[in-house]
Amino acid sequence: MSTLLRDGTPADWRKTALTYGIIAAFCGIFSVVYLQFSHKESSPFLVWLFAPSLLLGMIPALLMRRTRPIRRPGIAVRRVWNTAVATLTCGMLIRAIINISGRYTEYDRIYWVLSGVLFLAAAVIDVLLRFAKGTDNRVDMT
Amino acid sequence: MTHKNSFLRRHIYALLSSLMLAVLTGFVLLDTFVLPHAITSAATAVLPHAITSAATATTTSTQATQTAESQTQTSLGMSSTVVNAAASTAQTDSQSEAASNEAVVTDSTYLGNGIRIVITTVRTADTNAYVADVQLSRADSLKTALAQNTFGSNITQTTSEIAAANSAILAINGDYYGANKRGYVIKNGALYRDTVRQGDVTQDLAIYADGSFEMIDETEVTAQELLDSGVVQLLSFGPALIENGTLQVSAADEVSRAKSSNPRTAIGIIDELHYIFVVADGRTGESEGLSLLALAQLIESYGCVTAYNLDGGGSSTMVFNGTVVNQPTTNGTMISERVVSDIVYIAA
Repeated sequence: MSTLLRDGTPADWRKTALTYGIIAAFCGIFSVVYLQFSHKESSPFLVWLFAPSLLLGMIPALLMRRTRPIRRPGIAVRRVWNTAVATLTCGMLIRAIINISGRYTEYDRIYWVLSGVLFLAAAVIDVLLRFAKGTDNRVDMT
Repeated sequence: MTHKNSFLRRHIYALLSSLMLAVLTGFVLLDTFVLPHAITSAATAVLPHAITSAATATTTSTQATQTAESQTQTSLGMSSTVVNAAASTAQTDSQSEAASNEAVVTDSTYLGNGIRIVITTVRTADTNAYVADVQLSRADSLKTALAQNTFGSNITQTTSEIAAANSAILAINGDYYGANKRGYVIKNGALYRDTVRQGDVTQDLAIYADGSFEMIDETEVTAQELLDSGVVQLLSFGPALIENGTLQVSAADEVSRAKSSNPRTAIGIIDELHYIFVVADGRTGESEGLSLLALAQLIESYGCVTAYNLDGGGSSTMVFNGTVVNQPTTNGTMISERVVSDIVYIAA
């Protein structure tokens, strides 16, 4: 994941978009294969498993390529954002597996809350960094 | 070394966050599917209020049960010796007692001890379905049992193991209550769980002390109220297949899950103390499986006025006199019995 975060150049964002695209494709293929062996049991969470990586990863990264550098989020924000997308995807996968097995779970709430908190944290960090450092928001957490 | 340290420092956030996510997901999967949580044993779970309620229900329904017994005895077509001996515990005549214990058993029938069971195999929708026609002289011959005689999650045994432990004559898998953390659980007059289940279906099948069936909705009545009204068994899976003689599922309102052909298990009542147990095979080359509509139509053809869908898929199993009747599937299409949380069974 952190290989996506070395810098904020258009090339790097392209690489980020490509990586998210590969993850989305993997999720899509995984869903198709899983549904083939689920005895026609289905779950919308499995059908849409690719969506977080595509909508919250690949497309934003492609948009960032075309954005002025000053508008691009810093590395800290990107890391938290990526974790939020990963958490959301994991939550959808867990919910799908449990639903297809014929069970009901409340554990998925942990993922929804956690990913929501992380998305919010990413937004707050972005605002705070912009506010604190003006246009230079490229802060390396490491 | 420096290069290695640099790599770790640069990726420490990704490594830690991935590790935490993996640990969380591993725990969730293990807790949901593997880790057993025994909450109470069935022997100790019969709480005073449950005993009272069951006893009250039995008392209030005695008259109805006696009427049903006499009617059933007549309609069972049993030899008078067997019927009388099974129905009357007051008889002290040793000859009659000996007769009451004699049961005529074949591969597909059981007659004796006030119990008449006839199992037939029917072929419908490219599927083998096993239909057990059950007539009882006593309502308490219809029972449920928990795996390992213990209430909890991920406490499981195969249907045949639970049946053997409870000397069941006929058994089918139950509602797999252990698959969910919520939802009413009442077994043999004991209340084990009183939280309303979540999901699309909240309709349960209540079985009263007199052996009658009724559909209830968990959102409309509390578990304690059910117990107080004389419910001794509650099956919580669904949906209802037939209610008041009317089909409750149709091709139009079926969700994708219900439309698909799968192994199925259902229970229905035709008349007082006259039941139908159905288990349909599926997921095999020989049997495609049934949709809920096909299952409902099959059970309706036997004249059931109330019928309810139980846990299906790999769980669907029927055991008669210690032998698995159908072809249950596990892990996809492998023919073997899957472990379940509970069974519905007939015992003398």
